[in-house]
Amino acid sequence: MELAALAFYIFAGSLLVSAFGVVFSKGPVHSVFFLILSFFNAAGLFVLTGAEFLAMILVLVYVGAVAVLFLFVVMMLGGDVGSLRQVPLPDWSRFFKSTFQVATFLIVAGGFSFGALYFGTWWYDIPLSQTLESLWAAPLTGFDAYVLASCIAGVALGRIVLHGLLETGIRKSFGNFLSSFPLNLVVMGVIFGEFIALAFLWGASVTAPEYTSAPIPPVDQISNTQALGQLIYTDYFYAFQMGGMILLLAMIGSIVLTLRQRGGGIRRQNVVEQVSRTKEDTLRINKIMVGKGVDV
Amino acid sequence: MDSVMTITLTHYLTVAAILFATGVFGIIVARKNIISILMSIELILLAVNLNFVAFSAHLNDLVGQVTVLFILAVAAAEAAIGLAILVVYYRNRGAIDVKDLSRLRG
Repeated sequence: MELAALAFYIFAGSLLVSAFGVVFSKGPVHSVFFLILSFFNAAGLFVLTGAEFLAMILVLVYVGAVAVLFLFVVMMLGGDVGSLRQVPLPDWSRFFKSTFQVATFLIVAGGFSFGALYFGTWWYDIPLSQTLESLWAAPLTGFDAYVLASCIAGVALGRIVLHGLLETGIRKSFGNFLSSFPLNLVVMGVIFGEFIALAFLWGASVTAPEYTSAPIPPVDQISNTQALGQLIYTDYFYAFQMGGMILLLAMIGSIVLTLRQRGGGIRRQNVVEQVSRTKEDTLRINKIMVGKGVDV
Repeated sequence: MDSVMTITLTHYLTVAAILFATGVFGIIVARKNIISILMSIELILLAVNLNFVAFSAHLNDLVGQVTVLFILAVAAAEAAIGLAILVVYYRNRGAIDVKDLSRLRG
């Protein structure tokens, strides 16, 4: 197999595996380590697309600072992270228990996706034969992989949306209505069908290359880092400064949130108090009568 | 097998889509504690970054990579603030179970 393809599959595969590890692993320390692994794999993918500066920045900033910060906090909190009382994952098979439910889902999904395909061919004046050709033409094109992946993503997202709606504590009647199986499956089918329709109807616009505002110069003339620098410090300078202000704000915010003043007997200088002293605070002229005394 | 050998834009978009779905899943369904939610947010941002870089390489436009740089800065800032909130919350409550988060309201 070609080296670039092999490298892509290795990086992409371990990226997805470590992403699952972040979500499904036992404790927070394991999750952070899987997160670090995903960042490294994503940096590898970045290098494959030619964005080598961003790949190194990912390793330096994301892994070197953000993930280490996560690890600090996880280690500091110790065992009280609450993972022992974790919410158990729901039983997913309950959504597909009966064949009637499965059939309903498939009919709704298929109907919606084919309806969207017909609508798209009518809207964009693409002959239907051309659309259907792409369905049968090559058994394992990139489109099909995208369709499969987006179908899985669509089903997952449909379930997630419904699960999220149910878990937010809305009124019980509305919850019962949402958990009733026809609406469940219709929503799932619609999202599923949307993904299928999108996967077959999407295409890069032919006029898109005209709109590139900053064409990537050839790598042998200007390196990626230099080209990015030529862009950031000229056209995107204001955004660059705003990025710096955002980071400063985050730093100030973190310190303000977590700083603990030590109470008790530590004496400190209050510079403002010292500097704003007036003569009246320090000096008092007493007229002393002979024979009387001084009231201190 | 040509579609498996030559890596196109679609391959990158697929990986980013699955990564994004995993992150959203981690936030909404599999939330054990606040740290796992923060890490799922980082996964989502990573998926978006991958998308931007893939399109930048496909459309031969360097602006995508500039955008990724700023997304990275904002993500780092947000992770720092999120962890600071987490630490203060832990100091006050003694645990960071997600079910107790409703006490932050009001």
